[in-house]
Amino acid sequence: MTKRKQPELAADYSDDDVSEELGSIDKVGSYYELHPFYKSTIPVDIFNIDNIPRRRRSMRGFRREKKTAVLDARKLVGSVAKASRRSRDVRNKPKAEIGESDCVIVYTSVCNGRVSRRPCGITTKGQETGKLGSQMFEIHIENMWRKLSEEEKNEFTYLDSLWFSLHAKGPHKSKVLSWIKRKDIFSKKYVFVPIVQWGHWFLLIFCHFGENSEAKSERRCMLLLDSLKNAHSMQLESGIRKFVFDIFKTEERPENKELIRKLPLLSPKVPQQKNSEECGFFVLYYIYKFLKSACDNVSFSTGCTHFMKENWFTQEDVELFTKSLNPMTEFSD
Amino acid sequence: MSTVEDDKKPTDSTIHINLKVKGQDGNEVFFRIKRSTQLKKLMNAYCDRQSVDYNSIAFLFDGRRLRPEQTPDALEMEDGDEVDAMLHQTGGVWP
Repeated sequence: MTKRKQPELAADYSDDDVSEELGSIDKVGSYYELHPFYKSTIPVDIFNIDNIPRRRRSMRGFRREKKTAVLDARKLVGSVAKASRRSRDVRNKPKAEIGESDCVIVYTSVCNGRVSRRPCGITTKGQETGKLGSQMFEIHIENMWRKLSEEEKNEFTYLDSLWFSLHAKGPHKSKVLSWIKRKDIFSKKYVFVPIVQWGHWFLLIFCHFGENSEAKSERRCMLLLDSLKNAHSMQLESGIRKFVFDIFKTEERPENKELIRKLPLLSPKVPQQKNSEECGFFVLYYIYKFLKSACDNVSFSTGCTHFMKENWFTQEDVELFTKSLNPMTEFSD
Repeated sequence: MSTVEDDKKPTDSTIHINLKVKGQDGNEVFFRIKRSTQLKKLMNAYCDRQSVDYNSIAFLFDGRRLRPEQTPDALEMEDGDEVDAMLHQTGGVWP
């Protein structure tokens, strides 16, 4: 650790510098080993965010304060770590003086010494240009659900649009599966799984997953709706199979592996988007239309997706629908 | 010092809560927050600490999205609970 003791100077370093500095903190084994806070005798006012005004704004002055605090924390934690013969577990930690403040950062641990950097490539730009992000998507779908009757809520459910891609990434797999378990999808007739992958929105629908596998007319299937049929949505198949297999396994379903592998994955022809930004709204509209159709007692069965056609709805319908969403997009910051 | 602590201790755990925010890369930030404080404060502090845009992060508690106006009390959060900070994703077309 270099001697960047001057707090004022610290503010002049870029964020990455500060993060890098944090990378040298000895990793803390587990959260609970940090407890109890009271045992430590080193009082340190790490980070008092009381001064943050309500709305996010230019953080110039604030940043300075923050970085100073972070560096202080680094020094302190570093010295504690040294004192404990460079052990990997820091049992003593600086105590955060809470005082009157509402929220303080008491400790930051860096995983595997890796440095957190600004995420690149993924921004909210999309929302500015008219593409749909997973934030607004969730707000729209929640609004849609609020209008459903109790009966409908018993038949339909949806998974958060972030879950599928999170499942695909190792560290969150088991967590995502436990969240899905709580959704009780095997008691629902239809489960919507919005997927945002490779910068494109798809809609996966689980149909009748809870049905007895010995039932004669097997209606259990998956539908994959894609507003850009040239988007090679079938490249998603292996990911979907893995996802579904993990769900069955986590919920200890009686179905064997072979049966799960053979679950039909259908890709009906559906209306296609005309420009480069609409796919998120198409997915929302597919859900909306599907809810309507299913409520009208259209019978679904394997291969019987007769209402899903290229002319299921018109471009105009989607545009009207998209416009109707706008009043609801008021998002309280 | 000890007398101050003795005074604080009985009420502290009912007023404050320790929360862990875990980023997608595995980094963890530990917060101590009043149970009655809106989580907006925690979200802002986290985003600022990580130098990310507030609107680019989804905070999930038990898989559910946190809303900025919610409080630990309202969500019945418990001491040591974990919040996941995930990057929002945007979709338009096949790249």
